[in-house]
Amino acid sequence: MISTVAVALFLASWEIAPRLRLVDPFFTSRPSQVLSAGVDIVRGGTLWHDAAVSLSEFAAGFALALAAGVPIGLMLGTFPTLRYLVDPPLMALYATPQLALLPIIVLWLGIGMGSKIAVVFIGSVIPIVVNSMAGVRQVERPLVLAARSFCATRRDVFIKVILPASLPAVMIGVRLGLSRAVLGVVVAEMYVSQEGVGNQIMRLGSAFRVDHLLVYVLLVSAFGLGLTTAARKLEERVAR
Amino acid sequence: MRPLKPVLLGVVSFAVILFSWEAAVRLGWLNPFFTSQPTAIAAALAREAGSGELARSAAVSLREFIAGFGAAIIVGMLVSGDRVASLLGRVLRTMETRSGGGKRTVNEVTS
Repeated sequence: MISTVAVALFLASWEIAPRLRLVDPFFTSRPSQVLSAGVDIVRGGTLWHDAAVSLSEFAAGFALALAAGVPIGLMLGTFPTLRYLVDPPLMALYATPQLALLPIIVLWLGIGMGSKIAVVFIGSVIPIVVNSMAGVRQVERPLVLAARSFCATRRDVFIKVILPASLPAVMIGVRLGLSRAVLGVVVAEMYVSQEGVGNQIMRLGSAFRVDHLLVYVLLVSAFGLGLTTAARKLEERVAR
Repeated sequence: MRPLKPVLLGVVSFAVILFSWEAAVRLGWLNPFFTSQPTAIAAALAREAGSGELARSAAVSLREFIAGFGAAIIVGMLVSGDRVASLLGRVLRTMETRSGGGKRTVNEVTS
């Protein structure tokens, strides 16, 4: 109730302030303008192409991160020696914003989809590895010992005890990875690209078309919000 | 198995990465144009630090970081802080009781 009022108030003042010349609409645009820009963009036709490009970059990079990150994380959690070796460089990479590596990645992979997929992959694989690893490590020892004392093999223990017990932590990694992946795809496209949503945002920004730009920004935030909400729902279900 | 010294293994890990990187470039397996090499990076670090360029750039970034993050902390505390929340809650409750609404908790009202 209150939040609806707050949103309505925000939209109303955003619409009215430029009309009263309290702020320059050139810089802020207005909700009604953004809306008509949205209609323009949907009718214009390049939206679907750009969205498809960004979406496939996102999906490819994230799928690779998932496929590589979860097994690697579980493995590092299981074998301590391996973890001691890999953990320090991994943490160094975790602390580095993946976007700082963007110029090198573009140098290696060019300005096409490959470099964006790589940025998404690097950004999201590390939180997935780190959290999967932590998930295995925080499995309660008595559970494992109990399973062992009932003659469970290492494989049984892994599949029936460690895997389910570490799933919630894996999901946290997935959620963190998702937001890094969205960030990565948009910023990488803004940095250098020929197509995609980030490319449109950058292009419209240099053309001073704030209303059209905001349509794409809203699209991205809706996408990100939808994904993280879904991930959180899944997380809650897994935790139970 | 007894866990080996984690710190030692971490150092070994970095040493192996840096050594094989440098060796691969020197043996011609990697093109330094694309990958550079640890010794070249160290030399660049010394050069940038010596010329003052590193300090200048770091100072700019650090100032931006502190200003932005400081503002975020202040605004974040103001918006979510206990005192503001309880004040807002009290205002809302008085509004509710004046308008004849039933008793409600702050959480219900603000959500």
